[in-house]
Amino acid sequence: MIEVKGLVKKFGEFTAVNKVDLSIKGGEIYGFLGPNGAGKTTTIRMLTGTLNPTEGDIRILDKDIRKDDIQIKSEIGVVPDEPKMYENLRGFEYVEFIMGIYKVDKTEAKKRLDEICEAFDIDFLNDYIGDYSHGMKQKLMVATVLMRKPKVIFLDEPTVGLDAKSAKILKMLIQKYRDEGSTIFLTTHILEIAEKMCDRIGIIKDGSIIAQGTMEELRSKSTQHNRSLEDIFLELTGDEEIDNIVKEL
Amino acid sequence: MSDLSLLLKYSFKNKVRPAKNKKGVSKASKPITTVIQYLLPAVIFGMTIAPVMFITMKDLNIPMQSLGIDSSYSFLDIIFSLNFLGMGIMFFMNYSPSIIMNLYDSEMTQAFLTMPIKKSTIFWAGSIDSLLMTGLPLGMLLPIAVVYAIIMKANIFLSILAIVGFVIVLLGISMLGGILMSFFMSRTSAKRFTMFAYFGSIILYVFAANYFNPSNFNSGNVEVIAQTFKNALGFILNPVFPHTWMINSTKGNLWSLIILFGAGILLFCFTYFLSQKLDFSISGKKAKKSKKITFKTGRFPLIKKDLKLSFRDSQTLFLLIYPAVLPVIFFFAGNTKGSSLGVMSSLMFSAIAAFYAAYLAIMMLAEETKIWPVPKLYPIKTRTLVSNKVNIPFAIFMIEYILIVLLLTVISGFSFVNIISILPMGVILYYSSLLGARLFLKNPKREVKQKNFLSGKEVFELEGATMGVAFGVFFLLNFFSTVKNRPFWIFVGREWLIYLVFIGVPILLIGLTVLGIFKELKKIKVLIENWE
Repeated sequence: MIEVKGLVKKFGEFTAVNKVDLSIKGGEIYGFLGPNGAGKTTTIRMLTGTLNPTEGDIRILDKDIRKDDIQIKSEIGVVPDEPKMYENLRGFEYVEFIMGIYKVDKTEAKKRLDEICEAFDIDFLNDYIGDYSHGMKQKLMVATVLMRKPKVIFLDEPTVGLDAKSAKILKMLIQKYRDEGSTIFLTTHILEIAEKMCDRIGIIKDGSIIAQGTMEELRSKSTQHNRSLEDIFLELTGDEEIDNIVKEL
Repeated sequence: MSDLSLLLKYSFKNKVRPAKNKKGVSKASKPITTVIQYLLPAVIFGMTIAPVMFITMKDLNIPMQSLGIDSSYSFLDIIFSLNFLGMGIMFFMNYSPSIIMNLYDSEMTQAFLTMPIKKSTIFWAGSIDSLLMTGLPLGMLLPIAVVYAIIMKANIFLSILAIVGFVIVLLGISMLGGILMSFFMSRTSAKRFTMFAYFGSIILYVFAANYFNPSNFNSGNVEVIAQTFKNALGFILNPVFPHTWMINSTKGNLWSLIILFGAGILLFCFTYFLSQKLDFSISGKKAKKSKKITFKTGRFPLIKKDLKLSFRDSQTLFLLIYPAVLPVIFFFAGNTKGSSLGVMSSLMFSAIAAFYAAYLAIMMLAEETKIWPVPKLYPIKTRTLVSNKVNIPFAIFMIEYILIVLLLTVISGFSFVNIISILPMGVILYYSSLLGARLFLKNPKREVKQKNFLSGKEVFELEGATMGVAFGVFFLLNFFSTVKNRPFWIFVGREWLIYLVFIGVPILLIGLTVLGIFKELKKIKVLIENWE
């Protein structure tokens, strides 16, 4: 579903993403982790066609993103790190716009949207988006992506701003979609979520993938025999001196 | 007090982005520079309007009794009270919602609430800050009040007290209005109301300037005009209006002065009392629950969305309707007649619409960059996204111009020049829209949170190119028949020169503009490829 080879992104002299290779199958949740500024969002932006790679090949759903970007975009769903939407539209108008621009089957999408709205307590579609809180925007963004039931879903920090109930529902929905054959590409700073939900995890630091595999494979890479993802992550990203830092503070 | 000055200091600092000097070092301007920048338009307006008002109104201090009307007021009182009333309403309409915007739309308000600062201090800082940005009507009102006192030869001390009292009452009413509005207005409706009020008042002002032209009020017409106003006297100088208290106080009525200050103090006390109770929770208000929503999908979702956004943003709406409204005001104000009506209309429309078409394209593109890179996720070509922003202003202004030409035909009769002018107008408008889009795409990552996202140089470039071409073409075209019928200067006896200058030059300019269109299209294509 997602095949990436030798992906590089340079901004002038700075290399944000350096020779990243990924291979993610259908029916898999892939957790993409890394410290702030490691290159997670830049990678997602290239995979979703909003940023042109400097080098490398990206194939999504067996299509080349350079040649078939429009076709790919119509078949994937993206929840970006910030739920940015047109503030002068009402919620339901944004839904209509998304239905129109993605040419979705109205009846089926409406049925699914009703269910999602019910689940996420979305009862504010008559209001202007400009009056929404961050959480309300995030819910609407998630709803408009999931109502299309895309084959590949990219989620950049999807639980930020969501209340506990909505976050739980989202996690369960992601697992349900995985079971139905969708590919989920997920970034999060909440390592417990990644540990519990993801089938495989990739850790990026300074633009390069430093570890990749299942939880067991990652544990085997830990020289300090760490068990939890948090400890493995901190060991691999070189932030193991946290205790000393806290003591000095 | 120190909290208040601290909040204001950093609010003013935050309004101006530090400019880089030649060495690339950022140099932040001082807060006082920002204050001066905001006050400057009011000062310039005051310095311009005051002498004009004085000269045109100085002979109008004619008691109504001398015109046979039983009233203690003079003709001057009526004219000035119209100004005071109008500007007072204008000030209230601008200032009240802008307080809500300033306090409730600001991310900083929530941060301030977590700090050891009184809620009332946050409110007063927001109110003073808003006053700077929307205080233009007040700045316009002050010199007019001074001119009134000078013409009335009123007591200086009483006049100053009356003006100060009036300003206090206006501020009090508006602040209280702001607080009360916050109880039922949402953040979006407050934003929209602020902009509508602002541009609505500009259109009203232009309209009023055409209807209530000071030149109409010369002393020869006083009796006729006074008779017209006789019936309205009870309303304009009604004792419930604060400006009536000010006028009475200026004339020496101490009771009016006491009422003025009493009302002002009461309003401020009440505002202070309510400001302590504010919860700044406007964004939590909801509209009706969306139980039964019928989704309407159809063709052209992008165009529908762009049109909705354009007609909902009051600044964009203003840009869309103003070029058409202005000629219509001229049609009905009756100051211009006959063939000159067509000349004035096409000249005005072309110059304004050309610039606005470019600016609209820029503003519509800015709407996309506000949520960037989300629009890049849509399954459409970026080229489609951009071409809509060029085509929509072009199409709307073309429809407006065709309607104006039709209206002109109805009012002044058929004119071949008017009909044929649709073609060059189309070329100019399309070129302007493209130019605006290209200028924006040169730096799509520019700051778009504030409305002034073009640099001074870019505005100059845009105005020069769009208005220059429009004026060049339509000025010459419109004066062709005038010069042909009554040749002057070097055109006497040289008909070929008349054709060369008044027909040839516009055709050449249009030809160059068409070439410019192709050039801009090529540049935009490259810029789109690099836009990520």
